[in-house]
Amino acid sequence: MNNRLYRKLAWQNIQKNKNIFFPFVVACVAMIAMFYMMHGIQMQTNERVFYGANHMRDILKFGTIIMGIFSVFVLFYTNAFLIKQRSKEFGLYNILGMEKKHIAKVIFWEIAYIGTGSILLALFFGMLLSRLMFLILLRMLQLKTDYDFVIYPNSIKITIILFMVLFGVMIILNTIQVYCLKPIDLMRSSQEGEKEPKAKWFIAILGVLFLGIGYYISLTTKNVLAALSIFFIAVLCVIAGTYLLFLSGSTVLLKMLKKNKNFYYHKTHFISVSSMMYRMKQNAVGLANICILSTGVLVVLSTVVSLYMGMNNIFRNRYPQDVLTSYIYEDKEEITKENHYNFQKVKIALEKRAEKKNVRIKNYNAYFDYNTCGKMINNTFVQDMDIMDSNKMQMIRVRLLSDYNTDFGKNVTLQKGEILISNWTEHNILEKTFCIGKQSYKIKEEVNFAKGIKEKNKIENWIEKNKGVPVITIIVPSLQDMQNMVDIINREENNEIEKTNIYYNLCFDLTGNYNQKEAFCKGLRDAINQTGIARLAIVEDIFTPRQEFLGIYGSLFFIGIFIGVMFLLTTVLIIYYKQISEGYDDRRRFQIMQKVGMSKVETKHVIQNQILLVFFLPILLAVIHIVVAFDIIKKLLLAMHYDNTPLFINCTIGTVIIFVVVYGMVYSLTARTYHKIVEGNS
Amino acid sequence: MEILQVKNLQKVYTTRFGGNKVEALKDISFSVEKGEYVAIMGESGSGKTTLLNLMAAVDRPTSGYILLNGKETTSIKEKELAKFRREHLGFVFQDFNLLDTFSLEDNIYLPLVLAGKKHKEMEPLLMKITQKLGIAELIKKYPYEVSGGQKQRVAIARAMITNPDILLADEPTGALDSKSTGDLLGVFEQLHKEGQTILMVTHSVRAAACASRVLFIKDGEIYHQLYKGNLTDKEMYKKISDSLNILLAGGGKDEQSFI
Repeated sequence: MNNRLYRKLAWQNIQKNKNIFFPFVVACVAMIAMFYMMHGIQMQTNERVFYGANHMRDILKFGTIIMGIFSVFVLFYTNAFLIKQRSKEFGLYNILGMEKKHIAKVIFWEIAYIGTGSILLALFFGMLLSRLMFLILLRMLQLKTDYDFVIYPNSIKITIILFMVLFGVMIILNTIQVYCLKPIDLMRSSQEGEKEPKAKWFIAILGVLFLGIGYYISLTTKNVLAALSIFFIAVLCVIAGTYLLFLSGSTVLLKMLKKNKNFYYHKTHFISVSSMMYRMKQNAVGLANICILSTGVLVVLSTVVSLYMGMNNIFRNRYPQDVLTSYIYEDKEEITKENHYNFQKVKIALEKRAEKKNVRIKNYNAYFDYNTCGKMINNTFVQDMDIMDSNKMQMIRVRLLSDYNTDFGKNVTLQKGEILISNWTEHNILEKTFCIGKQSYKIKEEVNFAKGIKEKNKIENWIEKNKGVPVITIIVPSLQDMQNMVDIINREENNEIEKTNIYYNLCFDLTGNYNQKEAFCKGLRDAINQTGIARLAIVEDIFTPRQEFLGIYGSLFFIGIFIGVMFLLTTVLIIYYKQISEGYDDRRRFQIMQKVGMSKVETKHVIQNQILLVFFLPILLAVIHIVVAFDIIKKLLLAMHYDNTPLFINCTIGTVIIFVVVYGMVYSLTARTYHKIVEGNS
Repeated sequence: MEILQVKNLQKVYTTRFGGNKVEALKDISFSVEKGEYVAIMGESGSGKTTLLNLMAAVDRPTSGYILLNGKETTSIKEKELAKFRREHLGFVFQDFNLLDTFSLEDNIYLPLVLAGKKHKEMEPLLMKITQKLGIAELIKKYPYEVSGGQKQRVAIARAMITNPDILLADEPTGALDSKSTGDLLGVFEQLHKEGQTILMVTHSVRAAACASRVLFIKDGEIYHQLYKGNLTDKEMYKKISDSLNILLAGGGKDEQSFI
């Protein structure tokens, strides 16, 4: 036999097995094209230098690597399925007189055709789309660019090499597979009896346990830090639980249904229950994979979309006012002569600078505050940064009564040793005193900053929500009282080295156009230092990091979409192949049932039920996972200063809907192919 | 009383592109009395399976009709066909056609469950039929755990549990060894004695020899028929063999006269 014959045979095989090759080719093209695009975009960010580009590059690089690894995994998985599905065909060749090396040659040409074809197609689409994608990315970052068609030889090279190697390995694996074939095994009917799966109670209980732990963690995590440290464990628990449940839980459940004779001996249940039992045994891992992947898609997409759409909101949360300057207030001797910090001088300098830069300053806000973290033991605050206790983490903020009275338009007076406090009963503390060390303070009144807003921009400094950690605000009569409190805390905890301090904060907003504002903020720190003010700690503004933020969130969004699409593609591919391969197994069964007296309509009905169940069971569980994980993810988002819960809910619901729609489309396509197989003759 | 009447049955298959027409059945007429045990013999390609499919209402004839209990089966609507088959016909196949995902018990229950019967009603029926067929102890097992002969008994139990007007058997002994074949023919014999109408399509002379009447089909027509009368199985066997020899040696109907 010469090479031309093998090539022809290979080509014919591909055409004849369209059902299983077509999705494989589509998947290959999509994976390769996405990899190329990702790589190309990463290369393009290399060239452009803008603020935040380095973050973007890192994120994109990470994304490219993930994409690469993932596509390798998916393509091998699909390939393994293809080979298994076709082993009967190879066995037939073998019996008809083709030697194994001949079969190996046919396989070589098949993969060679598919590989070359997919790479070429993928590069074509990739080149077409990558520039467009980059433009979209730049648009998201609000940068302007000219459209020019650029091809990145480097990306092409890497893409070709990576996937050539991948297809090469595939050929080797398949060849090994062919050499392991025993034609006798292949030709023998695959309908040989299979033992009814045993109900593994222990594993099922273990699964429920793992899932329970995962869910419990998710539902009880109180703050950002705890969420960050424990999220990964929760994810692992849920993954383990999902696998175990699919492996055994389904069998246990079905066995229980089977025991109930009145339920079991019913037209539709009878067939579904028993065939599902076998189906679950064969497909448990596949369905669990789908469930995990779907959960992944939903989490990734909903968070990146929320983050991107809520970017402005994130910004405002992170920077409540346009400019913040903070000064450490610490020196004991200075307390008696508060004039040491001459902020009037700073203000004058700021106004001068504003005039020069053509902006106006408004909404001045100046206040002393003190922040520290620790935990509450009943009504006593203990400064304690032990990360193991992060679930109990409590932030304490101390402010002055005069600021409170001014900002809220009140006229409260406090005696020495008396305080106002917020979020007290919310923490279920009923005591009438608040203690630090041995010092106790009498609570005169509990206050709520969310109520009674007089001037919105002033209130921003008081609002305690969405800091990621619960906050208790304490209002003391004077700066002296505040300093005493700080001294007690520093003494209690022996904070000789890392003393905590009171800060004086001066914040304001700017009016003017964006460039002017940015120019005002550039070099602001030096300008303030020149006034000779003591201990300037922080100068930050909302304008300078904007580009960086956009870069980070934009590329996260971008990668999220890419990875989401890839997960979705994988999910769909797995379920499609599962369904098709089962179609061949189910065909005989349904034929028998029709002979014994089941009508076509009933058959159709039963098939529909069955596919529906197999298709939507993983999705259902994925949605449950999402619902439970919602709270902890919300807390994780707080770490990124994202607190727009309604938007997050909408994004999650939106992603779920889109996902289910796409999935449903694949379902209907698969169901049609499945029907054809099951109802087909011979 | 005639339970089954087949009249001028013709079936023509047309190949997909319309060109060739194959006449599987030319003109078949016969009738079966209630309680009769009829065997249909013929070579491969003679039209036996087509005939059986038409009687089972799986396929529709090109012309002619079939009356079962006076009802014309060829005109039953597609929707009601499954129900009709379930209620009036029982099937036994060469390759058993048991579902390997079901226990034997559930396999026997299948037609009743499809008919929407309650578990309470089904249980006594199952007890009765499995005891009669000697498989009562097996029913909790699965098809892959029992022998071919036992599988075929289960298949018969599945066919008989609905108490059908007529039991259609398609080469029931085709996949069995000689001992199991003997046992199974005993089962058919017993059912026949109890008054069950049986129609069996078979290659096996031995199986046909147990029937009360044998029809020979060749090239889509009834070529010959034999009544058992008072003959023993052995004598019947001889007669069938002779007929088959003529059938195989000769060409068409016309040549019969030469022998």
